[in-house]
Amino acid sequence: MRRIFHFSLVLLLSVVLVGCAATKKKGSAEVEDSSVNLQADATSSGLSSDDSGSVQVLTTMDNTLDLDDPLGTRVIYFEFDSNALTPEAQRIVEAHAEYLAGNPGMAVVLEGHADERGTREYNLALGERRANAVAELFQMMGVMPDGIRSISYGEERPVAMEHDESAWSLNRRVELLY
Amino acid sequence: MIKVFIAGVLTLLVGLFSAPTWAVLTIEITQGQDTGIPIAVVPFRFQGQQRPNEDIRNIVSADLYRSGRFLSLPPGDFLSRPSGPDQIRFKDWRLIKAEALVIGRVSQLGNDRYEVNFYLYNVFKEKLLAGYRWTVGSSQLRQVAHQVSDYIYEALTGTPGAFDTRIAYVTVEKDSSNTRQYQLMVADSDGHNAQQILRTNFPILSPAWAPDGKRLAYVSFASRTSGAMIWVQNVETGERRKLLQEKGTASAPAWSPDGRRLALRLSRDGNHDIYIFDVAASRLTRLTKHPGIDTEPAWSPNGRHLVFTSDRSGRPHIFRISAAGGPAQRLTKEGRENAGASYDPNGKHLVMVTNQGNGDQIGVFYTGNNELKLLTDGPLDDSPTYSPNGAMIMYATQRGNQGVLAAVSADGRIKQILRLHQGEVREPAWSSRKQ
Amino acid sequence: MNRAVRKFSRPVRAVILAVLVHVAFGLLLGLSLSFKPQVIEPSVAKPVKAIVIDRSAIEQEEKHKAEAKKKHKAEAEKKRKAEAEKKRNTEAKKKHKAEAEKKRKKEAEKKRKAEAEKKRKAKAKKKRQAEEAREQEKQAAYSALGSLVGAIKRKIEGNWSNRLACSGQEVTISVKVNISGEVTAVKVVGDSGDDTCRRSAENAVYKASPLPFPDNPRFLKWLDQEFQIIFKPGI
Repeated sequence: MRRIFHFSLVLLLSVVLVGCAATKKKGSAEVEDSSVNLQADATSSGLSSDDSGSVQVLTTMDNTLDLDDPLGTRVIYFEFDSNALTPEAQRIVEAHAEYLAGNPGMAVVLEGHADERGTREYNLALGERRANAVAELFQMMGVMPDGIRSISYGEERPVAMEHDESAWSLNRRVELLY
Repeated sequence: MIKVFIAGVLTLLVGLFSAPTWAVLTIEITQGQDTGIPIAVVPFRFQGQQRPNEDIRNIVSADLYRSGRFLSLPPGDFLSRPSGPDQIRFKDWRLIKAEALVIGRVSQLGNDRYEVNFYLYNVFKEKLLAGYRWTVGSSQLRQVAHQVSDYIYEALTGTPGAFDTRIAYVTVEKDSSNTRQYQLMVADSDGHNAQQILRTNFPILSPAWAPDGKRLAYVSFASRTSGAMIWVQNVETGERRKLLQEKGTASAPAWSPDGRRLALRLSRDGNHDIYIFDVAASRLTRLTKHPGIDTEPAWSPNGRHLVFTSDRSGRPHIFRISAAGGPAQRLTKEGRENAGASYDPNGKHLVMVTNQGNGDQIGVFYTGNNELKLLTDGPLDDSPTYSPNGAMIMYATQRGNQGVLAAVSADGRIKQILRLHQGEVREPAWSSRKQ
Repeated sequence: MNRAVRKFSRPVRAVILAVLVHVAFGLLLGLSLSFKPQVIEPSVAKPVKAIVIDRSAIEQEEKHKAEAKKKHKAEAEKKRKAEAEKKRNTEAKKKHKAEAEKKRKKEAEKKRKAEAEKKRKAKAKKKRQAEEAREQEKQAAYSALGSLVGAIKRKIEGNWSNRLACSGQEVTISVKVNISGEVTAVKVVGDSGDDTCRRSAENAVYKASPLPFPDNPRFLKWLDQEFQIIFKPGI
């Protein structure tokens, strides 16, 4: 019952969003979110509105919470100005790589991000570097390139808004989106 | 013998030509008030039935104040209010120590037609410096006021004004569903007449004006699964199209001074390099080839060189390369990082974002002697852009935990926050052409 | 004559001189030859009558004569001596008088000199005093202006609104003031500084008028009412 309620609420919301297109002014262009992935939307908006800064954990297939399951972790973090995978990150990426290699139909979007220090364009490139680092490891572990999409938002979509290292360390990340 | 003779003659000459020191008192002045030129802008007299909304005097006064070079005297102190040359009593203006006087008239000629006259005087020499007339509709009165400011600025500082110009910038607001909404805006250089030219859920970055002032290139995203792309949009018509059909992500567009090419960053197979795109030929030429991140290209005013950001030597620094290709030379050696550089209109300085250990600050780098001068305090300053006359730099900064735009004079002395918008404001780009 | 002679060499000169000397002598001789000898005509003797002469009478007469002669001689001698004496006296007197005169003159001269000296000294002293007074007035004038230089400087600085216009530049303004310190003339000296800088400096001076200036009219003769102001922000 609860799930149906949640689902319809999300559906209603998205209908309202699509319906409420702002009036187009002369010279103005509207760009809508064309490929709406409800699951991903919910995830990303959930992430962005949650300021607790804790790691998000999704339930596994059989609905039990398992903090030790690396597959449950959909975010990996990076050191400042670096796109090198930490051992912890590597562990998580490898788990996902195995999963993907074993499920050829699955596609994943690797979203790279950076903290706000430095210029926006440089951070755009840095986020892409980070996403590519994960993609490379995926490919090395047998994941087909077709199933991998690497993109970067640079510093444009932070999860933590404060201007200190605790926030910055959370923004230096790659998100794995299915 | 000869020596003695010459010495004698010289002594005589020296004695003749050197004024006895007691007669000419010489005083050296090194200090002053850096308040700016005191100028009296008299409210323009209106003749007609329908007084327009725009007050030319207020717009001009605000322009001059914002430039930091003028002290606009309060009208309450004026002893008279002339609106034409024959009404001026220069003594009135000497008394309040105005160095310059601006007077004018707005006359209604018909329905929505106005004639504007303006005169600029040197008070102490009682000399007319400039006088102009316009015939316009009410919607153009703001622009006329900015042109008046430009004439005043140029006559009194020797530098062309940049008031009759436009800026583009990005705003971010959270809508009712807490989703970030991005807008690309175009406004007058004083923030008025703001128009939205793009609205999207996706980030907008790096707006760049074409030299003709009619088009903007910018970076945004087409979908959740596609990376950054460059669009070019006509500001008047709203027509827009993607610049490249290439694979890979593209960003950091920079128009060449002749408007025929765009330098940009393109990444294919994970390698970020600078390319030059010929718009008419629709042809892409690679400029740099290096495993490091090369981005943020900017053209020199003569179109022969580009500077760009590269981390090929470790941390990001500024490099220079010929537009025809070749080796890249590193320009910045000091500081932890230097990025986002662009040339001033004279091609002698580079403004950039620099980190000297105190966060991100705006600095001006002198290519002549490799000196870097800090203009702002940081710690999160970004996106500097020169005004078309090189007198001011607009940039993005934080105030009270919110992103705002600010303007600083090129020598770093006068800073001002621009009140533009609710919400976050960032990524300013100053049009290089008058409207 | 010398010049003409100098034109010729030594031997030639000698010859010319010799010739001239011979000619001169010749002339002299000629002149002397032309003199006529003087003819002296003897005088005719008168016929005489003889008288008998008494020898004693002759001897007595001769004695008389001799005595008279002797007496005459003695008298003459006496007279001569007296005259000599007299002459000597007169001369001595004269000399003495001359000496006294000389002395007198000398003393008068001395006196005159002393007085002149005294006069001169007095005059010099007066002059010196006058000069000192002038000097003092002059120094007072300078010091009055000097003590105001700081105020002049501050007033101009307070009115230099656009110092930045002169950054990296230097401009010199020549200023004339009247006794009230009002600026009567402003002129840019030389051609350094761009238009905006020059204008900012001129305006600073105009707005600073009236400038602090000593107002004692006696000082005016010492003080140049024109001075130079160098605007040099050094930034």
